[in-house]
Amino acid sequence: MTFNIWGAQTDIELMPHRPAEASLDECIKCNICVTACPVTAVTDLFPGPKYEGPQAARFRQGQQETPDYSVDYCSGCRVCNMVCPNGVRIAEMNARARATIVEQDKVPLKHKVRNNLIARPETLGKLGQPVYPISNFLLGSGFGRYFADLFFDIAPKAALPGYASEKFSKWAKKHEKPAQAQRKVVYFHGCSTEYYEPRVGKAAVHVLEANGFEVLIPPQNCCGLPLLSNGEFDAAQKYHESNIKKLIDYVKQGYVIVGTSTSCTLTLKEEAPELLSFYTDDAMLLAGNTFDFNEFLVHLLDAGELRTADLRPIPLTLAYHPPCQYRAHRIGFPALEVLDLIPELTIIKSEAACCGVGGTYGYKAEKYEISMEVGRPLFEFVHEVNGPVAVCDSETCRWHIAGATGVPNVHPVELLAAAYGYEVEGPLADVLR
Amino acid sequence: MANLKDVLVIGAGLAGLTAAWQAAGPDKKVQVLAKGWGATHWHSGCIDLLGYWPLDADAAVTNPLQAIAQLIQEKPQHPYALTGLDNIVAALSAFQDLCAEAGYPLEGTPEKNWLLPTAVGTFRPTCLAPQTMTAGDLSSDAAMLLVGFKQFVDFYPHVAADNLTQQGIPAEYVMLDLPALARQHRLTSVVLANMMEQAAFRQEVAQALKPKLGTAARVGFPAVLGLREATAVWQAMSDLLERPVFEIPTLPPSVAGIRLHHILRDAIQAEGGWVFDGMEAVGAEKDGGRVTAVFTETAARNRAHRAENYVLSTGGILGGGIYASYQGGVKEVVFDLPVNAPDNHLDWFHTDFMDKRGHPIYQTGISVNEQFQPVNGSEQPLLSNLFAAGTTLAHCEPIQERSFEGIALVTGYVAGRLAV
Amino acid sequence: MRTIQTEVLVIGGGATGMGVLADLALRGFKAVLVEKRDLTHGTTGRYHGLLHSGGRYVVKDPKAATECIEENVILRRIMPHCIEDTGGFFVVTPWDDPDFGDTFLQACDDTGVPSEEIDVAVMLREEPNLNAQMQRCFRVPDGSADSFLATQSVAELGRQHGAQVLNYHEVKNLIQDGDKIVGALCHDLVRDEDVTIYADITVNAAGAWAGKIAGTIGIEVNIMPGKGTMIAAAHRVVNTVVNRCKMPADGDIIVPAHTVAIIGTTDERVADPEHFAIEPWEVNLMMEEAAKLVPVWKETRMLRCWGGVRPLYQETKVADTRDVTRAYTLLDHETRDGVTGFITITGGKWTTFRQMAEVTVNRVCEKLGVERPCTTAETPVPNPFGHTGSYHYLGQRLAEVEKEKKFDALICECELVTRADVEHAITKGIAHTLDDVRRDIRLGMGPCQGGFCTYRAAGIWHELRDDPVEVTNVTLRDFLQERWKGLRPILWGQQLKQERLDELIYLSVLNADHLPGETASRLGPAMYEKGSIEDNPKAVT
Repeated sequence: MTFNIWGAQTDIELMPHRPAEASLDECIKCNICVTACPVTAVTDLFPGPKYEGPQAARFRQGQQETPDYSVDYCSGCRVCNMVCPNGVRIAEMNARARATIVEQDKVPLKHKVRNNLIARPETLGKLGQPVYPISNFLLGSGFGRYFADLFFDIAPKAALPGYASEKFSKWAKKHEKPAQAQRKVVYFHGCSTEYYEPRVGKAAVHVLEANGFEVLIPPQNCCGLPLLSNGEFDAAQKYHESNIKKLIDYVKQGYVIVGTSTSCTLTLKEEAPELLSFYTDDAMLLAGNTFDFNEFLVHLLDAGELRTADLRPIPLTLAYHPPCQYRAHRIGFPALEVLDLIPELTIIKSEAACCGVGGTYGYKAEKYEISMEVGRPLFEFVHEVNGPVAVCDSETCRWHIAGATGVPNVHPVELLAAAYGYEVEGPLADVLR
Repeated sequence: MANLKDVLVIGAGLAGLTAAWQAAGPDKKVQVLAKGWGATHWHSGCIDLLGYWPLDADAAVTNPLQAIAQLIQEKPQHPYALTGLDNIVAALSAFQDLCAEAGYPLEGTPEKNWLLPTAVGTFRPTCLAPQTMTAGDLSSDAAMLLVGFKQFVDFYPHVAADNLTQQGIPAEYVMLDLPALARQHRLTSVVLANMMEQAAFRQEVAQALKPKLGTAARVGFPAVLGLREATAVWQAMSDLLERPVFEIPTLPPSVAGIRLHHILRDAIQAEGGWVFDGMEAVGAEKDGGRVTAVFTETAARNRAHRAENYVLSTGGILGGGIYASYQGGVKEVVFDLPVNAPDNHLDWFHTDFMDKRGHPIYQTGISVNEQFQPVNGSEQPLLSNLFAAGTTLAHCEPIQERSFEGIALVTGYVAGRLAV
Repeated sequence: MRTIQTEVLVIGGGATGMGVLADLALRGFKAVLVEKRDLTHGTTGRYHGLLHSGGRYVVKDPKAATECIEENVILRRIMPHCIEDTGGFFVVTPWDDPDFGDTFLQACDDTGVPSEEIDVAVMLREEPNLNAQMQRCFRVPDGSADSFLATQSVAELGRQHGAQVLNYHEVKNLIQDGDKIVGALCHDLVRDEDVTIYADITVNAAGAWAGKIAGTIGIEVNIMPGKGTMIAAAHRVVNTVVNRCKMPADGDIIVPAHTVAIIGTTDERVADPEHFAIEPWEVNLMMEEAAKLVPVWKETRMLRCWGGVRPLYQETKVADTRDVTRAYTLLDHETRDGVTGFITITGGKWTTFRQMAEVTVNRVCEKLGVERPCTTAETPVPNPFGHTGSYHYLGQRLAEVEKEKKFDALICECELVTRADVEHAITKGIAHTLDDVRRDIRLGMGPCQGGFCTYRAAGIWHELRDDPVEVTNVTLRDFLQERWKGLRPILWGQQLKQERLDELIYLSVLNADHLPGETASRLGPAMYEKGSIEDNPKAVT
């Protein structure tokens, strides 16, 4: 059962799979999830996780018209899954129920178009990044946002990321590999690192190299999670199949996949196979050998293989928000375990349920206010801790928190890269300078 | 071994959190792994120490400590017999100190049970009750007014008031229909508790109540008087109504229980401990009579967690630490420890749902020694660095005894201290 | 003593009796129905809810099969709100003879039951939980019927035409005047007083209890009570009725009914329709047989278990009750026993209740010397609790709650019963216990089995009823005990955990075992006689 960190595990035992809906049998109706749900706490439009999850699921029948649209107000934050003492997979049930609504063409056309637009970061990246000065100008202008709102119901105040001047993969090609790597690992950068925040990828490469890895960066696609969370399952499956094709040979050669985007790694590990009921051998093999970045580092730490001796102190007190996807990874808070190693760094973990953005949820005009209300306790916490930056593993959360608080956000790997003595870019560089 | 914690606690109910709180300290790294939140969210938010003994007694226990002394004589394997009276006194007192420091005092002593009103108007024996509840004390026959909210489906003051009156406590009731609540589509106890933290809403409640107070010397609400700010809310309501105010626990989720959950979590984190929720322990690695790792289920694989010592506080049948499957027998779910369960399904239950002896299946659990180490049939410890606490323990019937929190708190306290 | 005078007295508040009552009323007779407990207390309320296509009987009992399909078509027309058009499969499992399928198809043709063979792959697409190893599959127009709602609806039809329904009126004995039955002496269980009802004709539609009724005046009606045990899974593992394609046997059908799926049944002779046991072997057999149809069945949460008693009539003894015809029997005691003013209608199935009523009322007309045609096959049946005119579908309640955003008003969250539903059932209906309310609106029938809604419903009950609080107290306790009755045989796994939470609520939090007043009332449930320590001679405690 223990994981051998030095190589991919190719003899993964395929477990029998039951759809998330089957877990409704575990619900004992105790309503713990309702007390924890951050969405139902701020809006009447969402009647709560128990209601939409195990309760409503008993009344849904795939071949009949979906009777409840309020399930679309689930932000997918998975607080309900985390607090449920009985292991009901509420968020996944909701995601699948939403997909049925999409499948039955019950989403207004305007929103359907909008959802398909914001759920395709790869397409947006390919279109926008090469002409980044123009795209950034448009995205930053009130005029551009006015039309985005008018035509697509994209919330005019939602924080959008700016395109990077150079794609991460372009940097990676130029990057000189270490002369003597003992091991190889595959890095899944995801769309955000590729088009918006290459600095996270650079830090990740540095940290892996500091621990004796050669980092392989094969071509890759969007993981498809934004599409999954918008119920566009067919399109998501295409991305997932393409990623399997592009990555599976590496796994078969014995390399594991690590990613700094908690949502991308989650999709490869579990969301895609489970939500799509896509349990091919290759899909499961890829799933079993994909790691969240911090999770991977904790495995190294457990094995006594993480370089910890010469970490430089970072004398800062920072707020840390564990993103919602960690709940679905079910690996605890590995970033806490990793950042705990950096001398003089004080990390204060937020107890807030969710930042509110829910991937693409907070970009939608009809849900923006909800997302800001959901995030309010977190924003207050970030202000209270009053660090020069805040820390979060997930890109959309970082953008949302930064937009709402004005405090720049960084990925934990950036702190670690700095502690290893690498030069970092962006807000952390300003702070450490 | 790198990344070795000092104590790993499995389960975040009252027992697990208490154990972690006791074990955590500046030089002790304690981590709690929990599948989800636990029984604190279901129960009353009071500490029941022992309410009925013998089980089929009609009258409630008046002096729990004294009754426990008797219980220990009759049931030498009962968890209380293993902790001993001194630990019971110490655990309760430590917990009272903690709650008082957190600004949410629990009132009472182990030598006296309160009799507090329930949401159906029965007299509920409990040992420690939050300050927000004790004005409901039924040893006084001061007249009371019980307040319900029309949109809140979990509290029916009419039934409670009539039963209390029938038993000699003059009680009236009122059902408020407030405009602020009529706008809500879903009014849960937690939503109501959050609303109660707003002064304007309290004003609205008080305004509506004032004409109805009549001769009531005290006013009872469902237990929704604030979540994080309960004491202040309670005080404010008492001031507004110019008479003592008290809460009555009602259907889960329990706001009063959540307050205790918060207090313990904060205490653990203040000591540098970590509480990781949403992680289900599914197995363990054992070597040389010791636990060497606990595995949790994660997306795509299991993860190992290692510590010097482990505390098992996953609860019983209700908490999920003990699972009884169809024809599959009764199992302890993490370490596969031996459990004593009646073989025959016919021996699991009595005929009546409310049989005061309790259904035997619920006494199923883990047998431990006085060190709270799980033992085999010949009283030998099975795993030297494993300690068990809470309702996962055998030889007790926490619900029938009304000892649910008492057992959790006291055994959690002892196991937590033994584990460091 | 109260006395009631009527033209026709109907004994038995199940499907048959209620059908007779409504038919009488529609034909202009003054009629009264008495039922010893609540409506559908007997077999009607304790079967799996199958609307037969007739497929089950095409080989063994072609007459019954034809009756079924005829009535199936009529009931879908007159009371669609009580029916879910699930469709049905007859499946040949790996344990069955595939050639029986040909016999089955031929017999369907012969009896007029529409059927077609479908590809196993198509079957699996529609019902992915079915055993992938099935050999063959046939589609038939089975359906799922809500027998509680149907009986209430037919009662409403009767009431609208002047009929009177008296529940909790138990017949103590028939009243004989010479050779004539002139009515019955009843006991009103609620008021605890006797009531005499005089009638020109008395119709004995007491189902499995029909022999007991006739026996009060020494007439022998040999009813063989055949007990059937059923278990409901906590959610719909299938959405289509699934039958084993073989000669009828134990545990060979799963019926999706509302939010659950029911496996049925066993068939055991019992001495008394009221007092019988649910044996552990029956539970095991149902679990094993269900798993042959739906392999995930054993990992599925079981919601509840119950037994119903088939009222099988026989003139001569037959050992195996399944060989007795399901076709109904009308006994005219004038020709059979020389007693006038008394007829017994017995046997049959829920699906054929309307036809049985028609035949019975035809005989009443004959005896009273009048000619009044039956109109029940064309008369729409009203729904006292909601919509009419279209089939019930699974998502209906969810859609209703969603539409009006009634999220806050849910009293029974599992079955989406709103406060308005509960208030309606308590004030407008004829409920005397929370269990009666349950039958009307499915209160407490979901996974938590009353864990949350019992307190809520008792609270509303007390508010609306103005009973002394002791009555409310015992009402609450009776309902908890009634839910416990059906849980005890299948308590393991998740449902055991649920039950422990329910205990925590009612004992620890509410201390309801110390409520003032009686711990059980005469309206409370009669427990199954197996399932607890008290019934186990080798008990350990």
